[in-house]
Amino acid sequence: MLLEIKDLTREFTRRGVPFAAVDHVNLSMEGGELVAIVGRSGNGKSTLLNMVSGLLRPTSGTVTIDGQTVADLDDKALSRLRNRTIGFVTQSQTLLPNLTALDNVILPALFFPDESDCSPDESDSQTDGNPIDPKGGNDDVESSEPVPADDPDMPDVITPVHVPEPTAAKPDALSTRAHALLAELQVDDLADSYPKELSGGEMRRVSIARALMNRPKLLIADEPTGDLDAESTLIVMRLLRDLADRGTAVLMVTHDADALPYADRVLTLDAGRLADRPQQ
Amino acid sequence: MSPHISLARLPLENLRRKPFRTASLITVVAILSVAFFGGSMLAMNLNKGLTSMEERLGADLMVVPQTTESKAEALLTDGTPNTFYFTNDIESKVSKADGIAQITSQTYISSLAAACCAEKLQIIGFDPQTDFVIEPWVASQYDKTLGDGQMVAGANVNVSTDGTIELYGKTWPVVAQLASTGTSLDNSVFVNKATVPQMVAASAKVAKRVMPQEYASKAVSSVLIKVQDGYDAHTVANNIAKLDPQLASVGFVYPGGVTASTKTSLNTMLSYMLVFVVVLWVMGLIVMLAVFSSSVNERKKEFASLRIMGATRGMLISIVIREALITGLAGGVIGVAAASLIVFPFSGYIGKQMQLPYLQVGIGSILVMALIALVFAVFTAAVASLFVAFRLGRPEAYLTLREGE
Repeated sequence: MLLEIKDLTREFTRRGVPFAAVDHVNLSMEGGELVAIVGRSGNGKSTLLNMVSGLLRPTSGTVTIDGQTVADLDDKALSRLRNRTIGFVTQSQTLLPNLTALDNVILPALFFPDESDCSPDESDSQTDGNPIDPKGGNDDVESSEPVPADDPDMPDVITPVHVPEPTAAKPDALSTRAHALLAELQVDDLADSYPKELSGGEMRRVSIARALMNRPKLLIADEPTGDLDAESTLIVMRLLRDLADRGTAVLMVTHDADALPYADRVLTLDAGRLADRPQQ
Repeated sequence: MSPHISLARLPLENLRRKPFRTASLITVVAILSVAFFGGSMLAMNLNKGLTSMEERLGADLMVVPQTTESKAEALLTDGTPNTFYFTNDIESKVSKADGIAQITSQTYISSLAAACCAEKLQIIGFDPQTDFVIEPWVASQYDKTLGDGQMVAGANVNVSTDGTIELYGKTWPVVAQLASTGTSLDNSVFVNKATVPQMVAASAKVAKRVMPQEYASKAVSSVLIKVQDGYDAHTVANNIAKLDPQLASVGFVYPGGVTASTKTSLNTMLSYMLVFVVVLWVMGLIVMLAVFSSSVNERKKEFASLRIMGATRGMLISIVIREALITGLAGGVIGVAAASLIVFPFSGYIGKQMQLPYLQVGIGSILVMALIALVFAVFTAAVASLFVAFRLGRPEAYLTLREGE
């Protein structure tokens, strides 16, 4: 089981009154599954996704990803899980304003470089908009170089970074992969643009490329087609479906009816409670 | 193709892409550094001037003509050249007083604006046989006895390349030039007493005679006294005044008192400077905290994004601290450079305006102080940025993200 959520609850307080934004939720997902969660705004969908990715602490219950219980992980291990195992497309625009689209996509690959395997897929060299092959991402992570033991006396603030210097003549593996992802999402021509120069839909697609940079086993997408037109929605949903077909678990929250046919399962979250969506 | 982003380059990009914020922070740090480095250099130079003055004032008591005390004090600190003298044999009379360990006399003549110098020179005639004030100092530069007609020049006296000074239309050989003291002694030339009549005679040929010729060989401007152990300079002064009715009206200068009053002025000035630097530092820190904290909201989303991508708290703190270090270093270097452009080229002018002994410290001390100023600048920026680092690095990044929206 790649993702296992057990009895997950998160309470908030509003005007002194506690309420459960997520209320005793249980969910299991295998790799290769695309699960869509629908529900009205304010019913806890984003809260659920953020607890799954460890960005929010549950009041009770557990989240286990790839055999690791999120609540048991220290900051470094949780950050590594978020970086290496999870890809997260947030609902709001979270591209770094000071970096180009290309650098935004590359950045996650720099955090734990000793575990990075961004050698280009065969398809990474394709920049003509043909589908890339995200397959093998999970295997790649499994077969990556063993992680050197951390020096317990060295805070992670000064952990040395071993990113190979790119040569001027030849694009490095990270750039090649980032360009391929951007091309797949049809925004490679904007690689050198800064986020403020992009439209909402373009930023969304760059964010998706960023989430896929480290070949995650679990892709969490909060309204991935929220700002997109029909054509772009088609591109993104085909990509997510393709990812799932190649072994990645995709957990998606959406309001977009056009996105639902791509899902293996559709669940509803109503007042913090998760349920199977009745057949329509 | 330009190289892609690296974690090491990320703080630089953040600074580069926010030029106004970066320039504001660098300016604040630079102003702090100007105050810190400039203030410290002034304080050190004043301290060195005072120490030098203390070393030069080997006498405990000076006996000077009535009403010339202030002129004599000015000679010890930083005043204009003067001519004053007794017209009688004062030294032998004074020497009879009780409590005197050593006694010598000096003659002070103020030259005209000499051809060699932009300003008037103080000519000091001393007796190498009995002198205990100037001779030890001269000996550090010139180990022979000063001959008749020869001169030893103070540090600021412009000696021509052939080692002479033109004074009263005559060329005088300079056998040594003394190290700087930060006092008016730097603008003085020292001759032995036998040379004084030659000077007076020379002055008569080119301008108004500086003193009547009959006094030239015996004129004494001040009698300098070192008191015996167990005697106080004021007691000895009383003893002198009681010796002779003529001596009852002479003036007394207590170099120790001059030093003490100068030290008091200096300490007052140093206290003001210290308060100024501390107030400026606190204000600077508050401004930097304000700039950093106002950027917290702006950067909440940015840092939540980094957390979502898998950055550890340590990485976030590292980014913020490195931005602060770069800002602090840049501001510190600019501040030290700006202060240097004021303090060093205008050292002489500053000393003159302060009316206090002012002597430039050595290059070693300057470099050490510059390094301290840089460390101080970087430390200040780092302290201010820690606030941001810990505010933005909290565990629940989702809440930070929501607050930033």
